[in-house]
Amino acid sequence: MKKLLICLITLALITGFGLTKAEAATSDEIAVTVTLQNISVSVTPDDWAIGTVAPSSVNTQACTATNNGNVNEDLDIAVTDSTNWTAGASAGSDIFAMDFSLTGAAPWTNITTGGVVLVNALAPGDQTFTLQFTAPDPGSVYTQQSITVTVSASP
Amino acid sequence: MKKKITLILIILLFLSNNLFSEEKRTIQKEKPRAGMGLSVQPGGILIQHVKLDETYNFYEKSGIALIVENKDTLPHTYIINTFKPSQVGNKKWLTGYLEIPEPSWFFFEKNEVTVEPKSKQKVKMYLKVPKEEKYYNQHWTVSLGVTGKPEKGQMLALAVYPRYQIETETKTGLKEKPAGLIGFEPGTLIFENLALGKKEKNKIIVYNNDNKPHKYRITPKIIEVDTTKEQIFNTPGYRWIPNIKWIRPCKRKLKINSDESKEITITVNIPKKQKYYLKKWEAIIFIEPDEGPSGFVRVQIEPNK
Repeated sequence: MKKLLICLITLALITGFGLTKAEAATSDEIAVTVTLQNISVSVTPDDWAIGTVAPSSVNTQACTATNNGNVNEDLDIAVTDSTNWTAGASAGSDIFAMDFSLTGAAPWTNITTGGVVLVNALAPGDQTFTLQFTAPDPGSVYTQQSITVTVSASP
Repeated sequence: MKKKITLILIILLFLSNNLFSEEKRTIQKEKPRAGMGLSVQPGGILIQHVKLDETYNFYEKSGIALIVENKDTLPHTYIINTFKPSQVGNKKWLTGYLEIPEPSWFFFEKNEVTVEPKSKQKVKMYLKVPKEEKYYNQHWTVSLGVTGKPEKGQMLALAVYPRYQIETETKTGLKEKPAGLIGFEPGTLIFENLALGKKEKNKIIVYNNDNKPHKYRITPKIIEVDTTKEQIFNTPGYRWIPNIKWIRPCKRKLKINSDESKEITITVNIPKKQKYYLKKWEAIIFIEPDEGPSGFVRVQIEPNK
């Protein structure tokens, strides 16, 4: 009986040492650690239909961007050109301007196609902002134009 | 007569107030409008001991896939790609890591995914670093881009750019200088079976691969854990060393000419105390030039009896 017990203890010790060695051996294996859980952003409302515009007319839309993640996020904002209009710093011939303001009033920041900072290090929570669209003046095309405003989040 | 008029006015005022407040209530009821939301998991990962020329499937290896969640009430298509961090989002990255030389070394099973409303989709991720001597000892960062494909008639879109850190396997005796404006040899300095109460020394080589000379500041560091920030994390299985003063570089400042390298001796001296036996500690030696990207070497210490 004692012999059996000794054998079992010995076996357990060997197995134990074996495990330690195996762990050490895997230390050179690839190690993958999740460091940040998720990056998440939402914007309300989800659409903005400006409708028919007159040259140089100004339209605004109040929005809320939310950091739904668990880390601080930098939010950037970019605009695309449309088929016939180009995004610019101010309205011009077939040039529209898209600006934003965190207060809904001046000063307005021009949004470029390369993107500009909307807010830095936003903790989980909301950030309100207002978009302002200024129509081209003059405009040479009278068909519907599609512009995309993209809000992006980075850690 | 005056009393009657006053009474009528009061009633009118009361009614009008009530009418206005009804209107306000109606407006408030209409106010909440649908919003779009995008969530990407994991928000950050640290990948270490990456062997060159080996293809890693993170889902097979660690059960980790990129999860794209559409929080909108409409389906959305997302484009998934990798970039150098300087190309996208806030164009920033974690100090100490260099931009990956070729973002396509990190790739996905598919580059476009349509996610149904209020749903998630898993996308498998892969990594393969070419086998070239210069890619040992590297600490890189890559940006993943998950960008909403603009839907017809929709004006707003969302994008998320998490950054992942990649550390290639450590090696000494390189036949070629390591890649990047700043390079190291090894990437991780290991003090195994360290005798407590005795000074032990080891060397690192710092490479200035820039076309001008630089002055470098050398600082042993540990990083306070802050889960709300992207930061240099310790290697799994190791804890940050309790006292950073136990690690000393032979110099705190160093000048290296263009395309040259210099050695730094690192001395580790841990007090001889029972409680320090058989620990697994880590620290970093942070190397910061007067101009240009910084880098670091991990120091791993395993005291023994």
